[in-house]
Amino acid sequence: MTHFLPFLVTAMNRHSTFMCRNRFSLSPVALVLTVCGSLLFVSGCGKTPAASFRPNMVEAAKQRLKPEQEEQVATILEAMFGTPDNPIAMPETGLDIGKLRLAAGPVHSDIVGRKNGLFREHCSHCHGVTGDGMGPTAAFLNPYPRDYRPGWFKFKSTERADKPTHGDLVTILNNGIYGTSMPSFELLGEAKVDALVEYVKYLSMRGEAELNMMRYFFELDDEDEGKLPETRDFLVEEILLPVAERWQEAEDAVIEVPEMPEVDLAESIAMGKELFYGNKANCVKCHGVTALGDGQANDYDDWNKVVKQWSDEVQSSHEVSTKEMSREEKAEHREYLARADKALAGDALEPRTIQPRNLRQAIYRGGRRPIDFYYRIHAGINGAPMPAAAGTLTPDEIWHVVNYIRSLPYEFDGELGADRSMVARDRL
Amino acid sequence: MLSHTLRRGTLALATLVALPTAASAAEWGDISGRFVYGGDAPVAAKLTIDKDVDVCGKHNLVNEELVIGPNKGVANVVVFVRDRKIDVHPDLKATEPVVLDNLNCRFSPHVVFVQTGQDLIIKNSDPVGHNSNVATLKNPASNTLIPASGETKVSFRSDEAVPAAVTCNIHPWMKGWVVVRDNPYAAVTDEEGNFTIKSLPEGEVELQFWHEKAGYLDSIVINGKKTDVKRGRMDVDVSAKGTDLGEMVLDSSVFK
Amino acid sequence: MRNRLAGIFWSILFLAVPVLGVGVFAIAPSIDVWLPKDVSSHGKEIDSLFYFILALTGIVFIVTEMLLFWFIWKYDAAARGDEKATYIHGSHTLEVIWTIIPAVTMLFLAIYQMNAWADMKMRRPVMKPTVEVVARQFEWRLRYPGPDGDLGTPDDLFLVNDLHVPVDEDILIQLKSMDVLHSFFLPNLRMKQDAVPGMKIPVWFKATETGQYDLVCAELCGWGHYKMKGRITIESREDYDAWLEAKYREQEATQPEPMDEIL
Repeated sequence: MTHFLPFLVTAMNRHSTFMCRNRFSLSPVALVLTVCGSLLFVSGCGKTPAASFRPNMVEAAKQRLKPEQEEQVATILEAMFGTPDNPIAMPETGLDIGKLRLAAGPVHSDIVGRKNGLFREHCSHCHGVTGDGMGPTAAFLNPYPRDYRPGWFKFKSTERADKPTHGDLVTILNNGIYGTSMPSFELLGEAKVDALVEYVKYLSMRGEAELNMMRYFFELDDEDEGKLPETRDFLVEEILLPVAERWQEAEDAVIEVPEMPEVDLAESIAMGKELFYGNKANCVKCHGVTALGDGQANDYDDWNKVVKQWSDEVQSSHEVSTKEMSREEKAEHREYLARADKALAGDALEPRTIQPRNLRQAIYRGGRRPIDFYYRIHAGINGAPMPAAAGTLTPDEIWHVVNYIRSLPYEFDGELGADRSMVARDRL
Repeated sequence: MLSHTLRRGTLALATLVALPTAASAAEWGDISGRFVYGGDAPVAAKLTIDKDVDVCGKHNLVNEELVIGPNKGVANVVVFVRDRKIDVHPDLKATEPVVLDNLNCRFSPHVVFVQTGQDLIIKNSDPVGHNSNVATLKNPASNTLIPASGETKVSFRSDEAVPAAVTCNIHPWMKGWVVVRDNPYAAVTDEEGNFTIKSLPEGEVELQFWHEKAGYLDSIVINGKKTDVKRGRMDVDVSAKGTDLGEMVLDSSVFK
Repeated sequence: MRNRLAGIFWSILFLAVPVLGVGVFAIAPSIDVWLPKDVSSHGKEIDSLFYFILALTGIVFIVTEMLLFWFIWKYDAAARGDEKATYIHGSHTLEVIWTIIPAVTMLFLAIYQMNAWADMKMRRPVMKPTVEVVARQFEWRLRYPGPDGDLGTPDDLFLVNDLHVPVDEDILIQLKSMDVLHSFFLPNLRMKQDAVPGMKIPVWFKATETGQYDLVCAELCGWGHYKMKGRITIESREDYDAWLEAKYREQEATQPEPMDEIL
């Protein structure tokens, strides 16, 4: 269709000019056709430029990278990871290039009629072509779409600091994240979901490698002259492997979950309640005495915190007096501030506070199976303020808290009505 | 060209770990110095305590971003040696874990230094529960719940170019710092602004200075002369007799 | 001469519109772009209403189009030379006729379809909801009441996009929307109902055949409207119960599933 339309429009244009030249008494119609045709041609049918990854402008501005340093990072990244249309899977990443190709590129059918470009079809309008969580629709959503680049993932079966397993991400795509704007993609079928997960891992590795490089400039010695060494050793050992290896380790880092203790459910719920309000588990501090998630309202998740802290810093730099600076210092200072403001306005979304989960709605982002709750409490939620309880609570105690939390949406919580189950039913 | 180098060969590369080399220097010496605040010391602002007020409210907590001692010494300046392959004095093997305490609803000490591989014990001496969110960049970040009189153990695989913030999500005013290096040569200034790094190998080392409010200290007044210290880095000669850097004045504008 | 050629060109072009329109309708069923297969108990009635209205409007369309072209051809100014048109002020009789005929037709349709409407939107089976469907941007969140048959109790089963119902039984769906207007559309069950934020709308039907069919959103609900593709599986009571139980067991898992089940 896309190839056919421009042809059609050109043909129409040609036809109408032909008619004009021959002084057919149809010029108004011809004119309308020409205008419509040209509009169509200009707006929808022109050849779109090849997609490219966006550099991490916030980090670049924060690290005060010079243009040639940014360029070096971009060049290395392209050599390591390719482009959005043509991804590269270096063997060290352990990624499957076949799956990446299925997910990458513009939406199109390949030679056997299989649909490619899945990421751009289904994900990029929120998560962005780069996986930076800043697609065109991102600013509308609350919470914001995930930025894969720092490599933090919330809902997983592994320890807090570890990457999610492949299966964890598949589960997220299949179930969606209820309570956020992430819908379910289960009906796309296993192969497509699998390819998309592989591509998310790819974008995350790429983003983290970029961050590693941008931060590394600060550590360079003077004799490096502000350039990263471009040896294979350095790039693979210092930049790529520290990221890739952690993804590969994830499959072995799954939290072991002991069986739920065999106590009466009501008893377990009562013990869980005690822990929830007690000083040991301390859930009440953030989730609130009512468990409505109103205990802590001014904290940020790690993605927003990065932006918030730096924008505060930039704000206070704006207030620094430039009186005692030399001319060069002043110019440098101004340039830094201009660049910082631009990065914050164009490459970051307005930071938002994070709300602790309202536990009475029966809407759980990371899944509602008891085991999902166990993972969340055991390891905390990476990237969010929720701390890990492992080591503080015994597995049995974690199970009690799980049971209590699962009972909360149905708990009779006042004297609102005579029929206690009605209360819960109305709420949901 | 670059991509060619990268893609060529799939040799399994042995992981290179930058370990400090074993002791071989002939002579060892200390570095000491003092950071002084240039100007009138500002009054530390009182913190707003809005959580666990009955426990945390009675300690008159103040903002510790900039702590100036009674004699104008700048506390909590971090000084460390940048050189990665430095000889380490045999007596300086780190064995004891370092302790960071949640005490009186603040982190004590405010800045703590730990080596890679060494354990950092974060404990809680308060009657209320805390959590300690360690925002490391190169090491996996951690965030653990620490109940009253509980503790947790953290260790680090690699050094951190920038000290990592430690915060408590329950008590938002709480903030401390962890300095992670892969050698024992680091120090934090006391209330007098004094620091000493002991038993460095003789010869030239590269020091780096950092303060939480100022970042890397790139402007220091030494002997009344403003000296540019690029990215807080300074080459210093270590002599067996000991090297005293003397009084280094940090102008108040550094902390803005 | 040129004018005449152009006139013929445009006449043929515009004549092609009604001719092709009728033609497409005529061959559509044989090239499988017609109504999707009906698997509902009430579908026949809906379809026959559709056919009846189609036939009625189709005949009127053909007759009026033919008249239109006949008039254009018959009273072509070029062909009729200098003959002058007569000015009339309008015809009261004609006005009455072409007002009353459509009005009566409409009234007839309104009365004729009342029973079908009542069956679909008013005579609701007396039962508890089989499932609650919550439409949201951009998916269908499903909640089954679980063994106790009540929604809002701890044994509720939560799923997404994958709607299952038993065959040959009355199904009552409680339809809600979380955000904007959506429309719950089951083409094979001849069922379409807007989901309105703040309302719990009952939707009921009875499926007559097992199989898997589309569940789509029929109300432009935002940029991701096209993503709201769900699936309805109509199955025997035994299969349905087994499926419910398996899903419930999955939801109550206290141990990870084996890898091969996830992938």
